[in-house]
Amino acid sequence: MSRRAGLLIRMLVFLYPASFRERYEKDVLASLRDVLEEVRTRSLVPKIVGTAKALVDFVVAGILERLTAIVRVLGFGVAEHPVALHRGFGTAPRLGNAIRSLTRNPVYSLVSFLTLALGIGAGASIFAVVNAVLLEPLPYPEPERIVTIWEQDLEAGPHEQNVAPPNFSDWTQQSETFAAMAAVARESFVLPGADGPTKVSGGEVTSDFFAVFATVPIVGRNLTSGDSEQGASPVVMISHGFWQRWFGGDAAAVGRDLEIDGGFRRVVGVLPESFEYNGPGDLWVPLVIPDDQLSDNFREARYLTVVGRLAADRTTWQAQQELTRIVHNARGEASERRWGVVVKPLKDHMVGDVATLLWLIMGAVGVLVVVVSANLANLGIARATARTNEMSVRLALGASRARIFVETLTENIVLCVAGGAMGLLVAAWAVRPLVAMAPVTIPRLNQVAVSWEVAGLVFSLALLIGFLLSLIATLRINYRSPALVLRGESGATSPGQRLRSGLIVSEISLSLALLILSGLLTKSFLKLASVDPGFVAEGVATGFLSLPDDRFPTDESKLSFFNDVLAAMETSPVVDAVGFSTNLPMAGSNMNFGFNLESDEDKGRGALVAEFHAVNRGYFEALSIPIVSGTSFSPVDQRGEFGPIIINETFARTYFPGRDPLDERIQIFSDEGYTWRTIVGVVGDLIHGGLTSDPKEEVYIPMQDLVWGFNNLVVKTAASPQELTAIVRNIVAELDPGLPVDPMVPFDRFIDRSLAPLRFQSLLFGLFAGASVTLSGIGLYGLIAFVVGSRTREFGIRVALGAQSGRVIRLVLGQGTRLMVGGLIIGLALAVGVSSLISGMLFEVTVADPAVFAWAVFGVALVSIGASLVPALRAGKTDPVKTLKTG
Amino acid sequence: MDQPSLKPNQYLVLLVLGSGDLHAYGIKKEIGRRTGGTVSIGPGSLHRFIRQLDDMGFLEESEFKLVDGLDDERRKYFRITEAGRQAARSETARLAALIEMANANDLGNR
Repeated sequence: MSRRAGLLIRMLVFLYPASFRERYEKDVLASLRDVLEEVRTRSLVPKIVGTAKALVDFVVAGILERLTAIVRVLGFGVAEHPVALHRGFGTAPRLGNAIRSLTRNPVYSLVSFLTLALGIGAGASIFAVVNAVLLEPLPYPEPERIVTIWEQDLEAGPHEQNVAPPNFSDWTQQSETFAAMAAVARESFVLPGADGPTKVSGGEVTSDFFAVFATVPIVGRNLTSGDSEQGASPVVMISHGFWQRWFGGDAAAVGRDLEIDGGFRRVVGVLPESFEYNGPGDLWVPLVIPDDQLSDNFREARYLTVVGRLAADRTTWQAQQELTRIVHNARGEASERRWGVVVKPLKDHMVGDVATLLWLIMGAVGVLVVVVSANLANLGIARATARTNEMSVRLALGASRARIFVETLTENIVLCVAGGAMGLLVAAWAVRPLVAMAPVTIPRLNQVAVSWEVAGLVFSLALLIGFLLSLIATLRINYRSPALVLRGESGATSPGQRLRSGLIVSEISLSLALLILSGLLTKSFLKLASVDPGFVAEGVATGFLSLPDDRFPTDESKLSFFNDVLAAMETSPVVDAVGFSTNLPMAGSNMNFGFNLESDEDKGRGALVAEFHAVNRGYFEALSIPIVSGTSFSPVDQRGEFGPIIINETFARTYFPGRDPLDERIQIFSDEGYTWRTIVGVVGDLIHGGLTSDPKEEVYIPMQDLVWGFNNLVVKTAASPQELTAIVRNIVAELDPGLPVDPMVPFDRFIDRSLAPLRFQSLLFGLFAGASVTLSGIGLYGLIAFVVGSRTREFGIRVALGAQSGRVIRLVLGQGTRLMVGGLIIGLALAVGVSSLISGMLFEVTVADPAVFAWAVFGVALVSIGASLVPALRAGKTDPVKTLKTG
Repeated sequence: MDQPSLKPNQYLVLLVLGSGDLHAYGIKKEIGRRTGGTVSIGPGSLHRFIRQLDDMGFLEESEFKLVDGLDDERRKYFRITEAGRQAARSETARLAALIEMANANDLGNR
């Protein structure tokens, strides 16, 4: 049994009364463990059923024992003969009573049950996400000591950048605030396989990497500093999963050689199953930083990701001070203020911006749970008030208040535990679509599950709600004198009414605030979804090709490979257009280079900066990017000096305002160094950085003039991505059998990724707001209907004395409207207060968007008036003769 | 004194203890074995019955420890008391009388 399950059980045992625990605690725990151990060996379904049965039995028996003890302590029934206690006042008959009592009021029970199931289900599923993503500690020893370290350009704002090798080297030699520090250059590796080469994830790491995570290999040894020296014999550490898949978990894997990226590396260690960094990585090889990269020339080459484990009593702040000082000492006066260092706990780095979002959603859940509880309390008070007569008579006949409390408590616990269980089922069902919908940027989503913690929280919440409801209901019945009841006089005032009105006002206000937040997010989402990205993604698929230097050593060999792929693709009948680009819009990559205009050549090379993409003409065709003026590239274009380039509209507007940019020249960087180029065409803007970003100045260079070892294949096709993948694989295999090809992905995925966060947020808030508005509507209806019911006699008299039915209706409506107005005012204030929290998530919508506020107020008002109108109309139809006769 | 009837599960616990002292998990397993698995009592409920029978004076803790690898100081062994035997016997008699009656009315299994 896991430690966590053990903890839960030790908590649950407190359901049993102390007297029971003194006698049997160890014994009952041992039995439960025996049973759980026994079912553990069964197959999945019997295991789950067996575990659930044992736990439910354990909980129910505990509650029953507790109730028995309460009954005994309160002195109901005389306990001189224990059997009498058991038979007359035992809990099993009482449980039966409770269930009978609940089924006598099916509407009340069902509404309460569903309300609970809905509220708890929504709450538990979101809590499951928050728990897994935010609350669970990282799976390393003393995870709070693990930090990430970044450089930061203080002039450019708070963007964390990777670390330059000389800085990393200085830190490892001089720092005293760290127990260990390591650099990672993340990459993937290629392994030969039966079905062609496969790509495997992992990283190049310096020797202290695993010391940072305090991870020890389960077989073999860790990396040593010797492994990272130049000329050391190549080694690799493998993940537990890789060990199982490739070596079947054989300990003799250590010492074997693996062919990785065309060379052989000896396996020296196997990592434990729990180890994971930035997602699962299979291969970890020593990072060798060449000595020449440690010179000052490389202080601007920031490509290392650095992680560290703080020394025992040091803080991130101390570490940050120290590392900054080391960098500033090394760099001298000139750049002292320009570059800073940021030390950030690893978990903060991982969850980052997601934390705010999740806490906000958790807040929305909290609101929903409050609304649910308020509604239940409302129902409970109404029911208790309706039963005042019954209870007063029972009090008069000698029943003690405690006994009535225990009865109510039993009823409510039954209801709440049932609602909680249903809520858990709802959550277990809802958590999967929730995770599927969530944006991929939320880390650790794969660990989201309805776990012990979630179940524990749900049941504590259910029990707490049940207890509070019983308390409120029992306190409500104390106002009536049995004498009054027995004389048949029903008092005109209902004592619960003021409390109920207060609950309704708070429900309405919370609902309005939620609805406003959800409205702001939805409006943002709609605006974002209607943004024109500047290209057509439908029917376009893309794949990444990367050429290793050892097999494609020269630019010519790379270029000829890419050209061969293009030529072969163009002959395929399913391909409408095919192109290459070094960067794809919305895919998260870009390259910036410096350039000069002819008019200000003297400013020094690369004084201006724009985004550069090396493409061919097919790229514009595949993505339907319009040529606004001039021409596209052509296969027979001149190369090098005075060769053609294409700019986008924003570039033209920024640097050639009011002029025709065609035939103008700019000096740019390419394979031949800085050369002058002629602008031959202007293409439409496209949004490169994601839907929320603005178009930037962009320059397109013919791909033969700027050759990189990688390229993105972009294909407009009627074929499915699977078919296309097969086509591309065939073509590549013919050109180079050793080159892996990743599956082609539909291009809309990038747009979708850009939309996903807002869609997720607006959908979630929409659901919560909808549920909450509905629940407050039900609550308001319940209250007004109840008031109308208890004032029937009064209305009868009014009508008999000549009141028009319209007057009666207005009277009732007035009462509902007063509550509504109160709720709306408080809700508006609340919304203004909290809407600034989501300002960062909004797109082209201000936090005080008048239209959204107006619609939300209108919506809540509509529901509220509707909810009061139904009972009001019924009151208007009061028949004086009937009511006065029966009254 | 009017002897109250035992609940079926309490009766079962007494029957199982009639043939020897057992710890709670042993009682559970033995009930499962004797009823061919048709009766399964969860660990919580079982201890409720044990507590009730103990309160009624029908069973008590036993010093007996069986060396079967499962016993350690956490586990209590339970022994049926004389009053427990009496109660079980009178329950058996009550049930026997009922069966007699059933058979006489052609509702039995004979």
